[in-house]
Amino acid sequence: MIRQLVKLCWNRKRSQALVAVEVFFSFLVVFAVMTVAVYNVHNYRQPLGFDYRDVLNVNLTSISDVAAGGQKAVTGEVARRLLGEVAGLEAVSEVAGTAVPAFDLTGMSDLVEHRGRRLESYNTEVTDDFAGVMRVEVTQGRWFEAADDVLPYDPVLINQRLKRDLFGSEDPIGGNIAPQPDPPAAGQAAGAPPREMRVVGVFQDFREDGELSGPEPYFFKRTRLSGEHATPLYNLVVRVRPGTPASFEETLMTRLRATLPGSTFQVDPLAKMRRSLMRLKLVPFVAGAMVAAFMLIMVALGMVGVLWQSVARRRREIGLRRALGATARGVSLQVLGELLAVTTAGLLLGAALGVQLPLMGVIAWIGNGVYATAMALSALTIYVLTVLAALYPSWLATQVQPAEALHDE
Amino acid sequence: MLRNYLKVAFKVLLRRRFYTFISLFGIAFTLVVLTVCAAFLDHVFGAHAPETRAFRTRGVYMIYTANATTARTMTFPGYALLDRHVRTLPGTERVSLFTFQEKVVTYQDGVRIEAYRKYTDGDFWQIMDFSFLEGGPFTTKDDEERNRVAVINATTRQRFFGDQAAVGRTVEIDGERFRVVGVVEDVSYLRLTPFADVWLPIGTIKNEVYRTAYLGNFMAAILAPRAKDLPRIAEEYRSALARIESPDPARFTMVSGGIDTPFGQLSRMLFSQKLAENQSSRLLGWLLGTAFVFMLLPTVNLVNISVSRILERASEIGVRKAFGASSRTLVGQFLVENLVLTLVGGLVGFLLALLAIEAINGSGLFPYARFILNLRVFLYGLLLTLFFSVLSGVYPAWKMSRLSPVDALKGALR
Repeated sequence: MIRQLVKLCWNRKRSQALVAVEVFFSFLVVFAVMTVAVYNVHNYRQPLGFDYRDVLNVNLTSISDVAAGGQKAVTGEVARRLLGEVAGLEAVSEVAGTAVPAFDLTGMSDLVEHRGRRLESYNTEVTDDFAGVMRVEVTQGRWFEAADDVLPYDPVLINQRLKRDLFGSEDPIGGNIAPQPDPPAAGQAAGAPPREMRVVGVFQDFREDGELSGPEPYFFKRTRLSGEHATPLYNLVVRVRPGTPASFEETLMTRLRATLPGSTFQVDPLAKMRRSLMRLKLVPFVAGAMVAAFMLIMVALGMVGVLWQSVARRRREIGLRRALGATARGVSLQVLGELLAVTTAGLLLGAALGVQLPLMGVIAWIGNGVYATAMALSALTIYVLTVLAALYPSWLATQVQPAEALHDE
Repeated sequence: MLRNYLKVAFKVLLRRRFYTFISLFGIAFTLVVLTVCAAFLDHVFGAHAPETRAFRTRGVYMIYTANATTARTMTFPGYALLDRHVRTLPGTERVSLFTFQEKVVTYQDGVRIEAYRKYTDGDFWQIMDFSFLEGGPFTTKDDEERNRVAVINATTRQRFFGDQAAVGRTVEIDGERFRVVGVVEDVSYLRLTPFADVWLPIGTIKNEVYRTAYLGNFMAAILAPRAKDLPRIAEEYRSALARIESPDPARFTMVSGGIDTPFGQLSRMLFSQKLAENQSSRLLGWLLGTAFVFMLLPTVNLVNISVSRILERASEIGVRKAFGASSRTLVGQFLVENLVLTLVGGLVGFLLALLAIEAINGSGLFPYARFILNLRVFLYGLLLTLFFSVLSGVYPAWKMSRLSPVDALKGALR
């Protein structure tokens, strides 16, 4: 049966080739959209690792301060006073500081290394109360504490992904992840080893770029609020009591300005920042998907047209088959089967091209599972489309009356 | 004759409604996507008000810094670098420094008002061609004397003052009061250089440190007397950068970069391997290539439909041949038919594109953006569709018209 169909198609390869080419291009379009969609859905279902509801983000570093060539130093005593003033407000339940705001496209990335394994990891620097405000879940070891001020090393917490990438099955607690300097070139003295960054705990995750971001290694460093190595605050995260009205933002702003006159503050609810980031990431995808959908409709209609014409032209052939005892079902299956054979040819071509990308390692970050799912879903979409396009023409073919068709001559 | 052709064409198209619909759908859809994309690019990069002097204006947007140990990093230049090395470039007509916009929040009577703030100097208003609804720009003197004056856009005026005039009244921006001296029409969020809601003099920046910073958050716009002076100014800029002595060798020792249009800047960011030249032509090539690949699928579809349509009408051609129609007449008929089809498709596409652009403008996706349909791009797209539809419709018809009437009647085109 299948050999028959392939032979039939081969006999009319010139007109069939055009359909196959059409299927090939459609597959590429569907596949591109599908990959992004599957990737996003996959990411969306992973845990975010923190709770953004009822949290306000206060940005302390206005761009015009950055323009001033350096960060304004909200450090040491000033930082402690600012945190204290905000914590004193009635609607505030907890407050902490972080270097990188969540749901914002900025990020810090640094090299980490353990036993020669070296990689780049996103990170942020946070105060001791951060885990409480953001509800970050520590799964192993401990969170930062005030006594860490006097440690001879920098304590860090790493997420599960970084633990897996850097330590494998080894216990990470107590491990040093500071990058080691390259061996000195000949004739140069070796540089001093960098300050140790010792892992004190592991947390579930902290996906600061929102639900649609891919899995990334991540770690927390600690902001020092006192001592001579005090580090600056860049953002405050303020957890307010549930039910606090939006007008609290103004109260908070007034308090901030009274504490640090002459500074620029920007207060945004994290929920709002999350919405705008989501929109920013989804708008291009939705636009692309809409264009792809219209293209598919166009291709499906085109296939209906081509099949219709081919049925009309082959009335005699179909009439002959019916006269020789073929059933209506057999005839409609032939029409459908021929189209499926041509579609498969186009799909194989497309899949052969699609497989090249993971083979060349271009898109390793997507993950093979996501890629395979997307490919299967795209092939399925194209097949469904093909069957839909063949429905009407194959019904037409069953309506051919053998006597009439053979008489046409 | 032509009238007859047209009559026949319309009759045929109406009789085969399904084919007509598919072809029109394909043509219109392709044209809509191409036109909307072109409208977007034109809106972001075209020479529109207030950048009417774009042909002789270039910008310093980003610079690359590096030292012996760190790799090249891309940052905004600081005020001091631009003030000392760009304002002093020989052969320019004017140079303006300005910051990247930043969002500031004001609460007025319990209502949160967000506005994008940009700091600029007096020359900014001479290089840009803003249309003022009220009042006028602030001046270099305002900037030097650190006067608290502001130019705001129409939307910000609406937010702060409702429908009343704003000039002479004060607005609170980021906790400080500014006297409004001018109100301009809204400028699109997508225009890198002019966009803001509120423009303030650089002199009013609270923190004074920016005056000595080499890296930071400033950009510059350079206006040349004539467009042909630009290459020389670019050369001067490059050698000026090469002569810079770093005030902080720990952070950087070398600075490089070039003067660009916003499009050139984008291409530099996308393909930043080579620093000497921006990659505008390469980016343009990529865009045209994408458009071409995008057009492949609709084109194959159109060719498919056209070929099917002609084959279906083999017997019609046979009959006409049998009654003595020449090949030329037949080809003429199909040519007219395809022209009519494509032009109707173009018209539908034009109307749909207008609707799509109106929808995007109304969606508020990009603040203050008003996309405009670019007629030239639309016509290029139409010409391309015409070419393919004629090729796919007329060529099989011509081939069939050369057959003997008997074969054509049998539909014997192989």
